[in-house]
Amino acid sequence: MPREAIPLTVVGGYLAAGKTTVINSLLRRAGGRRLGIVVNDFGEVNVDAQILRRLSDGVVELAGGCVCCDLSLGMGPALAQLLSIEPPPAHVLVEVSGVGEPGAVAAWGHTPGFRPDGVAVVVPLDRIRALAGDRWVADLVIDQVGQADLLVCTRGDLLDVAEQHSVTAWLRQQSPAPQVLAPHGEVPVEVILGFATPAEAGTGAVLGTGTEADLGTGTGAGGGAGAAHGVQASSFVRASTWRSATAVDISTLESRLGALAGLLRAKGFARPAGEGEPVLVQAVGGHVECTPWLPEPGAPTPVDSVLTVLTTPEVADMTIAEALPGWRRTDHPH
Amino acid sequence: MPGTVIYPARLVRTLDRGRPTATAVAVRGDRVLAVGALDELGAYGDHTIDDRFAEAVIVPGFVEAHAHSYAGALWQSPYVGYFPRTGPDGRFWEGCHSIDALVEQLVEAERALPDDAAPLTAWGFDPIYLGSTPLGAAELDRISRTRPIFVLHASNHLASVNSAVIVNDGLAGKTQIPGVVTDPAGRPTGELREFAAMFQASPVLDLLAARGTAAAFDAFAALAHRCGCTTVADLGGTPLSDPAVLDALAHATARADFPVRLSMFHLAAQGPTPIAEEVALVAGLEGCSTTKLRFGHVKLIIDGSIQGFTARLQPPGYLGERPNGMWITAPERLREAFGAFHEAGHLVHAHCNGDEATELFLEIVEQALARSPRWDHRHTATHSQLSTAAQYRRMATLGVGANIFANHTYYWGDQHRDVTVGPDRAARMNAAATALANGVTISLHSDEPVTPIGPLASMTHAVERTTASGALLGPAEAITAAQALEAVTLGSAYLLKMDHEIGSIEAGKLADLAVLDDDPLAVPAARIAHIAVRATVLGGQVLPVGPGAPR
Repeated sequence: MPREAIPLTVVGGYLAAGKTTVINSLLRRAGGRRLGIVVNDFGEVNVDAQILRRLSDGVVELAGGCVCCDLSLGMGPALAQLLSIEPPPAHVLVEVSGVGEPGAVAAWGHTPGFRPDGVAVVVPLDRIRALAGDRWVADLVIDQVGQADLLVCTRGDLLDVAEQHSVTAWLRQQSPAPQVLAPHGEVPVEVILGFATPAEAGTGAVLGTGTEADLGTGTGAGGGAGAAHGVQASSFVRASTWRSATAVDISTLESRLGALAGLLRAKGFARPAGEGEPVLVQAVGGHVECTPWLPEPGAPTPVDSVLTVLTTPEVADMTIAEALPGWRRTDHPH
Repeated sequence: MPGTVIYPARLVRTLDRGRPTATAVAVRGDRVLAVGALDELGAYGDHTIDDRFAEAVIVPGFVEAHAHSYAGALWQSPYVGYFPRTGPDGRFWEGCHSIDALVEQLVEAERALPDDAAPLTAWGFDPIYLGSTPLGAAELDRISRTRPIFVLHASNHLASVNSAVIVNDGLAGKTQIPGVVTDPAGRPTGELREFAAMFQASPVLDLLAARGTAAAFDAFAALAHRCGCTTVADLGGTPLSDPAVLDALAHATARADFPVRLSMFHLAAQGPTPIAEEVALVAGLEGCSTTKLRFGHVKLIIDGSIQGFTARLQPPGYLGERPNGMWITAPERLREAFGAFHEAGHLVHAHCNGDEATELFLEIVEQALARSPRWDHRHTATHSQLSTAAQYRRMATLGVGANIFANHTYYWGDQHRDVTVGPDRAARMNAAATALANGVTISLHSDEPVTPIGPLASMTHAVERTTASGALLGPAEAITAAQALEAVTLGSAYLLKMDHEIGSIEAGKLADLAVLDDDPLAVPAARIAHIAVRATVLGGQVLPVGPGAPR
């Protein structure tokens, strides 16, 4: 059976934006998900995790099961090595150089064995306006922001509320990409990596039977908003689950969901009209991808259409309902 | 005590202001004993007269201050560029003026390969000169359908492969990779653009593996020797932290017949190594320098290339509303790296193609000098293609040199005039006259393999200011032949901090000479490039150039 393409997410942003902090935070919170990280420098990663062993030239395994490649041999070889290790990573994160164009690096996501899964650009709220006006790098920084599917906004705690509001409003003018606040680089794993696949969840989650779909592994972090979805607790994102009992028009779903401002991630299934197979729906930022759902052995075919949606906090249920006509929210908001 | 040998010549141009011409050079050991007339030199005592150069013109051995030793690796493969080149073995490659000519060239090369399965790699292809026919599998299959064929373009950012590569490396299954060009039916054409696509073709690894080897250094040295160089600077691309590379370098240069002195620059701030470690590496290497192998200088890359639209330009920027180019190294890292090497006493040459890159470099130099004043640093903007008059004035004040890419006027002058920056800025590109008028020390370079190494040719380009199509471009920036000769001898030596040893023929300096068939200051500018090099002398050792020449 052909192996599923490994999602490849790119993390970009200018020097000292906080890319490394974000990546380290993801490694700590991966919670059993085997991540493959491609970085410029091994030394930056792994503040908390220990390097367990070297798997080969330029690839190391970290405590927690994540693996890390550096770019000493180049991007192609790094990705080839990630494909060849056993078991393969469930998700690959590529850190882009501070002077690089994240959109260009995202092209590597088309390498066979992978699929592109979004561009996250890390933006330091306390410095971004100065950078966007910098004599040397203004055009580069604005370009980077423009290439984002998701904006991860760090260092907001160094500003007062009014300043923060002013910067995020300005940022909204530079890019329609949703902004997730992550003052210390801590961002829910699902924002950057999306939801774990049902096969990986290992909970035997069954869809369409009326039980709550658990589409994320989470870390089992206690209660709080989003825990029912397996999404790690955070006041900077909002998770909700939606179902539709009626057939779904897939192209409407793609365009309306993709246009939902503040959408960070979405994942689930949609039953189209007629005899069509259920469709796997995955979204990052404004990109919605609907692909034929591949059955897993032993897993039942989804009956209902169900979608877990992750948005920025200010997005109201009503707004999501407008983007998903005919769908109802079915989880219990906390 | 080594014996004295006197070499009479038709003419000796010394580059010594006190004695600009002479008719004989006396050499003792590896040094010049004296320069003058034969009877004067006879007064220095016992000597032998070696009159093999009696009809020739002797000038200081040329100093190429910006080339890359990986050219020696490329030259292990056939050359398929548009312009003629001479290879390390003296073979003249007339250049491929059509796809047919390229195919013919490679059919010949393919036949000569000993092993049926080994890939055929080639380099230097530049479609810009061949009109719009792309080079792909359809054309390369005419050479062989079974042997993998990989042609690296001159830009280093594109490649062309044949069907054997498409099949062996499964390119038909990789067409979603941007850069794997497909035909309307979705099949790979054999054109690969940018690294993500190029990497999919396995022969690229063969091309890379040849770098940093003894064979590559020998080929590079042979290339330089043939055009009269006695000293060449490798401006990075060969990793000096690799013990195997250092070993190969040490062994090659230790041989008595290794024909040039190498100044190996460390390319800094490209990888994750902390700057302090890089500084320590360079300091350690400097201590290992020998007379033919010099370490201690540092290269920084600031921006890309003008013809690739990746150089950083000040307003008005590129023609056609294009976005500005790329910072190869972030400004903060440049500041940090430059500062560290400057404070540690090293010499830095920074690649600046666009004028915005030059501007940043000058700001960084000025700030570093304000923090840590240093006499006679000689930091240099290399390429310096779009540096403005104002920037040259600043360079003079700051003590910064300019290694100018005069060859570009010939090879890309038409493109700069018509496509990249327009006639007025193209005319002031590679502004050697402005630099000299403002008191900036200059050199002229080839950036081999980007353009062919050859200081005599660089002189022609700087004096003639003529493009490949024959158009005059910016004649006001032309310099005299005398100024050009100084640039490729003493000027280069000065910018490499070797001017006390080489670059002119003076008593006490190393006996590094170039022996020419003609006087570059007495022929029309266009002829300078065609003056034959009979031999070089390196530290007193005669190294003939010619088909029968030693390696």
